[in-house]
Amino acid sequence: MTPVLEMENLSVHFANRHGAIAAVREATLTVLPAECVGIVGESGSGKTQTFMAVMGLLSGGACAAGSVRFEGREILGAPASELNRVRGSKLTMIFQDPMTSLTPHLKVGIQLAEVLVTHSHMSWREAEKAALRALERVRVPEARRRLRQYPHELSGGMRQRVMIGMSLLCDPSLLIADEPTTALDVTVQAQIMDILRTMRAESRMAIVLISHDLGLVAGLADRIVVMYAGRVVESAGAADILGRAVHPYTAELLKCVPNLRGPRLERMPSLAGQAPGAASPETGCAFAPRCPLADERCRSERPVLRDAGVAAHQAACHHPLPA
Amino acid sequence: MSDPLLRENGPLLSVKNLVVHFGAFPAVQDVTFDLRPGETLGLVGESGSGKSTLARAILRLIPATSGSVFLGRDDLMSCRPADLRRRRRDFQMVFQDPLASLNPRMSVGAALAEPLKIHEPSLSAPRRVARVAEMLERVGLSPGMADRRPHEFSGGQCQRIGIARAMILRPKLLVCDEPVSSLDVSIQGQIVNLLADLQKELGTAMLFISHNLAVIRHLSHRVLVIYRGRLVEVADRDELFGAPAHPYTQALLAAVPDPTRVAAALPIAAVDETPAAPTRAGGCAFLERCAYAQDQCRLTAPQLDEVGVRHAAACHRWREVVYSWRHESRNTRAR
Repeated sequence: MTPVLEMENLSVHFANRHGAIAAVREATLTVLPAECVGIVGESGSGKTQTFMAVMGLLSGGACAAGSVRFEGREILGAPASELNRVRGSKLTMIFQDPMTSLTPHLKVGIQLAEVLVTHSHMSWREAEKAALRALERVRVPEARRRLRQYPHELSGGMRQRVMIGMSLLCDPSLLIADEPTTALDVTVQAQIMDILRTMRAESRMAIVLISHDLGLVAGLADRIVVMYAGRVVESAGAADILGRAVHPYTAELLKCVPNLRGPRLERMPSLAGQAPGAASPETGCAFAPRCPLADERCRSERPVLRDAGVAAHQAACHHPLPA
Repeated sequence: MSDPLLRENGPLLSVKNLVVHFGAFPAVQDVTFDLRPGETLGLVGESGSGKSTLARAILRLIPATSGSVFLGRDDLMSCRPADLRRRRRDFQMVFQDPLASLNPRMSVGAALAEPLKIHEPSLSAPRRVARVAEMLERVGLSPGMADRRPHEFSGGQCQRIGIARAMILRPKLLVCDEPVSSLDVSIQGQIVNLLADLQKELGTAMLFISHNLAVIRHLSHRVLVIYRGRLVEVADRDELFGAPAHPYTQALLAAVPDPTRVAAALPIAAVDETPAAPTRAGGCAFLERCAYAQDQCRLTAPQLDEVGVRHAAACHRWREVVYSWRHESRNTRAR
């Protein structure tokens, strides 16, 4: 089976007056057709920049190196004209803030139809019919009325549904969802996740779900990739990450997720210190200063991502926990 | 030591029938509750439910339309401006975005010294510097950091500074408005534990606003649930999380993602936005989203009524609501 997305040693650097800042360091990952991969990490871990590079949406001062293949074709550094053939149709992305992704002065219906007129060469009349169907698919109540509304007339949850509907118009093979529910209330978040789950079951679309919330990712992902300080530190099936994490960072992070069930702890677990900034030089393992297991070797020699002894479970750690 | 501010065994904060209108829009409607010294009260609700407005009205940062707020014996609503300014040292606030609430051009030491200059003008300069250093140390920062500016600190450190500035006057009431929402999960615990420690040490009462139920469960003694400006449920922590009696509370609980559990179906209708105003007068505000609604709910708005020990909910059908939750939990455990 050809993977939908193959990323090899992707690095993203930003140049500023103090020199180069590494946002992503040699990230390697694969997404198979119909698979949902969760990308988990804290702010600054590089999870968003990784996929901005995939989409060719990095800001001006950034440069990306490595390789990104979408359906077998190299897209990293491809010219915009070539990228635009897949971007927005076969390869789509939705963002945390749907208000800034929608054009404020165009009605929702026109923005949706435009996608089909551009990519599928439909007539406007046909495209508007398809737009209505798309909104109904993502359970937008009173879809016909919504088509004639402007983005600011919709609530945050409704806008995100419009964005999901828009991203699905051309039957994409990969949807990248970057913190799609972070700005929304928990009840609305649950509805959006339910829509993504249904969409995935109905089509053969693969999903990359980027989130800081392990609990949220657990509800949808087949596989979870954990990032820390720009690097992939662990990658495994969702159940293995949640139940048998071998990287101490993943294990500690899981302890920090406050729980609604289970016993109430006297102290809320947390990790001492903070993640290193992207500008700091890399010597040894980036997690070593916060790691309970770190020794001299961790501080001097950077661990590489390798098999953790069980199938399809990889971790970058000198002292992996028993799986 | 008895506090002259407090009535014997009385509450520290007593809010009665508080109403806040923005023009014609009722942001807070008829809210009544008490907060005892040293107690933590969690306030949960969705965005737009009125939780921040309620907190700001209590602290008189915005005017209330009607109702009363007593801090000890004093009515804050009828306090004269000069008296109010003097009393502000007793009630302080910590905000969601710590960087936005600190002056970028002021050193951290100066930001911490400012409340002392205003409220303890007799304090000598060296004593003030010592108090600032002591407070910085207490929140886990080094006193040597007093000369730095806010942008040199990380989000978690900025929130420590925000807490230090709020606590340096040893207030009797601390209002925290989403203090950990903008922080990474691995940092949240540090801040929550710091707040809990300071509270234990100084006996401060806390009103803790959050949309994160798991954090509320960790920290609160008692919990208020607010929906569209009204309190819909009030209970002690274990009671609220064990036997929620309002369908909205249940919906909030069911919607929280949990890494140990596959998401269950939601007992809430897919109306995603909270409509600005009730679509019909007289009925329950939660009607459109409620799975339990019946004719009665369309006709009369439920009042906050006793449903258990120190437990009140505003729902006509609370018996069925509690029963179905217990039933569902038992099934989940059996699975």
